[in-house]
Amino acid sequence: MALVEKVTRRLGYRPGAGKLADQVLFVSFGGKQVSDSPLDIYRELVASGSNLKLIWAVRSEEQNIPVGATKVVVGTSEWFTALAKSKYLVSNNNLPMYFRKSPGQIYLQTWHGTPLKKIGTDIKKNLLTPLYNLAMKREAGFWDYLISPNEFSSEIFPRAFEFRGRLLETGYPRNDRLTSGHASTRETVREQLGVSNKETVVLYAPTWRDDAIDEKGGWATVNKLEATSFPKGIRILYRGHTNTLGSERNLDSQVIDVTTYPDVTDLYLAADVLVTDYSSVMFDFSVTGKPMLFLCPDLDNYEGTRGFYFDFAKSAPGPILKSSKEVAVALQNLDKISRDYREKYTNWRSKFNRLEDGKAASRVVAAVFHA
Amino acid sequence: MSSSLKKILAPAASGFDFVARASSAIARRLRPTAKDVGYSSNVRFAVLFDGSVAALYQLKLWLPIFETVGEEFDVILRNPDLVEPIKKLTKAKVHLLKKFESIPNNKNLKLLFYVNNSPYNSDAVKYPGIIHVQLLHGDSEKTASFNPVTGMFTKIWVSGQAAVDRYERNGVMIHPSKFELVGRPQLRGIKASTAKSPKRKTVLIAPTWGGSADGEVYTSLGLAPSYARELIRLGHRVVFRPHPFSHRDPSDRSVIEQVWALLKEDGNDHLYGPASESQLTVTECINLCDVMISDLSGIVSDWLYSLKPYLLVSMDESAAAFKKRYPIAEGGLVLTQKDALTEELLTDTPDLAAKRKKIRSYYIAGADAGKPGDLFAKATKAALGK
Repeated sequence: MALVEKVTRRLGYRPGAGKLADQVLFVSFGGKQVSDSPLDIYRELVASGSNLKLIWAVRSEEQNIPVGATKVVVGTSEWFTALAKSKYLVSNNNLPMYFRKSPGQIYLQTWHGTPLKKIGTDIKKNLLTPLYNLAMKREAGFWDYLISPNEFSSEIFPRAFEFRGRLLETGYPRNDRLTSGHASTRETVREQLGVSNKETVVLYAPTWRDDAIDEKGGWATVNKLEATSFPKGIRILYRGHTNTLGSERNLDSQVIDVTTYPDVTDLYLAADVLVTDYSSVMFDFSVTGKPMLFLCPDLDNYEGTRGFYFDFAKSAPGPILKSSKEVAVALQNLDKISRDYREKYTNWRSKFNRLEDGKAASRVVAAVFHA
Repeated sequence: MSSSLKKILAPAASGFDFVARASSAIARRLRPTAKDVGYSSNVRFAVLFDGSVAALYQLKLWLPIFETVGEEFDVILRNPDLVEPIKKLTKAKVHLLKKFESIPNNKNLKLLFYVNNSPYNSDAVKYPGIIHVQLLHGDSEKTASFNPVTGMFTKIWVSGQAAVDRYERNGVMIHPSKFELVGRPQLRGIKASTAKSPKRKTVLIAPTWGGSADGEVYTSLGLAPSYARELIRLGHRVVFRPHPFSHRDPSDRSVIEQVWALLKEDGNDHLYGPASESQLTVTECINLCDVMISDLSGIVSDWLYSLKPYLLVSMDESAAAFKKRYPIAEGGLVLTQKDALTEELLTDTPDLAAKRKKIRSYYIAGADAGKPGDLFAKATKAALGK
């Protein structure tokens, strides 16, 4: 019966029929989160006193949305109506394959990261390429506006996505909160997670792997950090990628799982150091100026399969490490690492974070909503 | 798959209408065609045209010009779908030939015009004793305007010296004696104006289409929705005229509908759809508008004749690189995918006005002296030995 209901609702989806409503539909990672740049654009619109009705798409009723916004659950008839009738769509990822734009709808694609690894049509070897590219090309044809966080991405995005609309080179709205105050966030988040102010908080955020599949057929959790041998006073926060949400995590008992924590930006503010591999979090975390370590035991294989846009090993703003042991040693020497990598870190920031002045969301809102 | 069928399918292969177009192409090939009775005529000049119905505008551009020559001429075709539409456009006799081998039957034929780079042109160009003249159907900076294939014709009649230089600049070496500068006779109705634009401007958005032989991106159609929104916001009037080919690609068509919806929603006196695409000619659109936003479309050199300001969109290179590669951009401002329209960008400067005046006769021979059709008439007379 559930399937019949699903199909019926899907058949009720009528893009282009009827008048558009003065409302904005916000979608972050397909409704899995209420986060990322859509959230900052939402906040900016609220702050600007917009009269538009603001709707958040979520996957389940339990997810919290900002007070004053309207909630729709993806797949319900309310969702299909909002998708077809909202004058504005704001999403940080592709919308479902069945999506078609109603003429007159304004679709703002925020995207979700500066690319290190090749994306879209630039991917040479990937099992998913033909289908993914077709979907991507179709989807990008619907975007009126695409946010670019920096000049580097502006060079890549239009070609990789075959995007021909307006490129908003504004910086990432999601990073506004990293520069504009919020000093208290660090304390609040630590308190929520039960971490004291004295502990060194390590945010470990690896990306997913094309070739790591779990027994359920989804993308498997990636965890290359064995935290057991870490000295006292160090707390690890593990943040899994949204693509691996459905996979079992089985983390060490001392590790705090922050995979489902609503907003990763808060975690950047709470952390003292980032450990990642090839995730685009490296381009955002660097806005904070805090040290970064790269745990990349599979660097050659990963770079060989997916391909990078630049020589990562040469320009990384922190050491590239091969084992958890090396990470443990590095964590003891963060001051020295900061000194050693000062120049590379500065170059990194001027290349990728030049626009991150805390006002990206307001630039986006001005361009798209003319507010 | 035969090479011609592939050619028919290629432009559609990227789109979702692939199946529909493939089946219509197959149907066309299976349909019994009229028996080719051979070419029987004694006119002194003719135009050979091959292409799809959508490409008909290429011929449409020249038919009225041929009619000013003052003697009977033929239209020679090989696509049966074109016979009826063309008969509606001209009094000239239309000949449907399956193959072009009977062309030499007409011993009087001195001058044979071509208006595009159809692969079948070479089947006719091979016959000696006829002056084969390539006219093309627009003077743009795109690869179609420096296609090496054009070198096979006896003569290439181009608008201005810019067109000649373009071949060489792009490494296509054609002997200078093949070229003849004939201006653009189609510009007859265009009114030149150096008057200051009104406060509320009428802005022509005229992007070219998405396809190209070299896989490069030229069309700025994808930006038309944001330009339309910005112009509405600034209080200007929009005249939207996409390229006729853009209607056949589903993704381009959806962008066109997006622009229509935005203009309709605004409810002002904007012109779009049939109102600007079929009820008005290009000339009328140009005369109606104060500023144009385009890209590497052939309309730019037509617009240049009006001396009015224009903005060109570069889709894949910086404004500086674009200006260097396409000299026509010197007379206007160059926008990239990042640039929003502002009042300032829409306002002309004396410097740009002077540059436009200077490059006009480089692109359109004779633009500063006489009427647009004069050079073409003179060249035709000479070729026919009048």
